[in-house]
Amino acid sequence: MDFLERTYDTFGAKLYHYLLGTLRSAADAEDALQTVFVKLAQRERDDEIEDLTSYLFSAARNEAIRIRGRKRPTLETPEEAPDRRPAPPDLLQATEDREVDRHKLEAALAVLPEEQREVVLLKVWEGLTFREIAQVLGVPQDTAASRYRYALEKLKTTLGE
Amino acid sequence: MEEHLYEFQRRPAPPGLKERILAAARAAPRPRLIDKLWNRKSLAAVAAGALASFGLYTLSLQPIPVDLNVAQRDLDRTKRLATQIVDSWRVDGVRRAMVARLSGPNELLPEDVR
Repeated sequence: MDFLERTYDTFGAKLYHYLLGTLRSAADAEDALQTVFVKLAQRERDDEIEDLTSYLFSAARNEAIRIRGRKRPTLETPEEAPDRRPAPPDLLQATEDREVDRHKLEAALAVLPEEQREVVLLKVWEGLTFREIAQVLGVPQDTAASRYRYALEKLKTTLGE
Repeated sequence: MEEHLYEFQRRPAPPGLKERILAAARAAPRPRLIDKLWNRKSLAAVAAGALASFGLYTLSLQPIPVDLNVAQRDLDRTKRLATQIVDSWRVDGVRRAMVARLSGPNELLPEDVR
C-alpha cells in the first residue's frame, strides 16, 4: 500500500463528506476530491507536508471555493433557480425510526451560514480539533470555537430543543 | 445539542470512488523539471531580478540627447559669471588699498570712502 492509498484510506471519506456538505453536489465533491489527490500525487516530496490533516482539508476547501466561484456566473435567475436546481444529496444516515430527525437536521444544517456549517461538519463528522479547523479556515482558534458555538445555538433553535 | 449531532453517522462515499480517485492521481502527469524549477519562488525572483538588471543595462546604453545651443548658452553664462566675480574681487581690492592710503589721523574714515 503506497502513500496515496494510505492517505485515501485515512482521509478520503472524511474529505468527500466535507466537500459534499460544502458544495452540496456529489459530482462537484468527486471532482474536488480528485483534484486534491492529483495535486498530492504531483508533489515532489511527501515529507514536506507538516500536518497532513490541515493540508488536505485546506486543499479541499480551496478547491471547493474555486468550484463555487466558477459556477456563480452561470446561475439561473433567482425566480427560476430553486425549481431547476437539483435537490442536494443526503449528508447523513440514520436508522428508519430516526429518518424524520435526520431530514430535520439536514434542513437545519442547510440554512446555517456557510462559515458555521463548515465548522460543524469539520468538528462533528470529520473529527478535526479546533486547532486543525482554525488552520484549515485560516482563522484564530477562538473564532473557530465561537462559530461552532453559534452554529449549535442556531441548530438548537431551529430544531426546537 | 452536541450529543444529538453525534447520533447521526456520516453517509459513506459512493462505491468505486476510491479506485477512480487513486487511478486519476496515479495517471496524472508528473511536473517536468522545468516546471519544478519554475515553481520555485527563489528562482522566479532571481529571474525577475536578472530581467530587471538587463532592462536597466539596455536603458543605460541609450545616448543622452544634448542640445548644443543650450550647452553653449550655459557655458557663456558661466564664463560671464566668473568674469563678474573676478572683477568684483579686483574692484574690492583697489577700494581697500585706497582706504588704507587715505586712513591717516586726520583723514577720511573707510565709511566715508564707500
